[in-house]
Amino acid sequence: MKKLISLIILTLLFTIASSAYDYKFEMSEKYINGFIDSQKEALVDSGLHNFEVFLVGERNMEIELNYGMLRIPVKIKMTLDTVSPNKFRLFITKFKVLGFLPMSRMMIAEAVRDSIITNPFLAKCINIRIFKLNTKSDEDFGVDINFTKSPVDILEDLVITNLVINKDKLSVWGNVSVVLE
Amino acid sequence: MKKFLIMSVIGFAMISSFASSMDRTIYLEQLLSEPAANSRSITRDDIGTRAGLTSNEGFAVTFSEIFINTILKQKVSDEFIKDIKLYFRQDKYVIDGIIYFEMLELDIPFTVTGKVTVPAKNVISLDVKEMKVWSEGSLPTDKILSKVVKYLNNNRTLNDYLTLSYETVANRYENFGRIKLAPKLKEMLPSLPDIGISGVSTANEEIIIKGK
Repeated sequence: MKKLISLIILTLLFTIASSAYDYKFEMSEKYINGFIDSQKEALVDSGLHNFEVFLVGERNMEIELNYGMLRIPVKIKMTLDTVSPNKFRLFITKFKVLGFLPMSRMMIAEAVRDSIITNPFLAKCINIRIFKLNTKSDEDFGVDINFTKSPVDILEDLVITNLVINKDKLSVWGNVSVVLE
Repeated sequence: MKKFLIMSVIGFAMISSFASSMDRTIYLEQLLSEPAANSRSITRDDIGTRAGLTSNEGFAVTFSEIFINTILKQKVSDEFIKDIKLYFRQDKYVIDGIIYFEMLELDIPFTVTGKVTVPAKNVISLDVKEMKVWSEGSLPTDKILSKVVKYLNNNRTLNDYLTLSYETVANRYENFGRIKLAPKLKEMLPSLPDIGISGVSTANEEIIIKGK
């Protein structure tokens, strides 16, 4: 009996693990930067100039920008992780602000978040939370990105199961709930 | 005697409709299990790492049959399009469904197969290579198909995202047409005015749309 139950559980697990995605949206680094360029106004309003994203191989991402009136160069390195479906986390591994003026990293991160939220498409489906990490430094933090609503209006139950960075490409893939006949 | 006659007419009608639905199922199964003309097999990419983009392309969207058929079932089926399903294989697409043909007041099952092409930027064409209408008598396949496309184009959900049209292509031996899909990209993605679809390919159980 025990064997039978474990066999059933194993089969179930295998079925879940081998179930494929229903859609996949793959974007190149160039395409992402084209999108960012089209959002220039919102970025400049938040004090962000020359905003550029680089996808660096396995899970890693870099952002380069100039901040504020003085156009202070900023370099941010981060890794992207999937927490659960629709929930993703960015861990900031390096936050470099060049120049002599003391500048709050959190302030810059919040300016980036605010400029993203001004885009009506992103504002309706994404919730971004910046949180401090339990480290000695006050400046170490992570970013939670939660998809609170399906980005596609006609598919309310669309799920984003994974965000994957592979070389210079970002892939979004997931599932839709299926109504079985 | 009268009863017997009525019963036998009903019986005959049931048998013929059952036989036609069997034909349709067998035909569909054959279409979908046929190996591709170009036999290098492509399987579903489950880990999401296939590098499908060339340097000329900015994005690629892959939709599985399940994704498309979920939309069709939940959002498109209505009193005219009673049932519609799309299938993709490496070298073809198959549309199988049932429409309500007002003129004859009949449900008409149909199966269409062909290739997906991109004849111009932002235009996806479903070139029809073969079409079957599963009903008694010889109904004009071209007319049925143009009706299907008309119904689909009138569907409010689809109309928000696509404009569909059907054109007959005169051929020396047969008539086959093209179902043209023009996605309303500006309405869909207002923040990306320069977006353009440059290529579409089909693989086993999925369709891949690429663009800049």
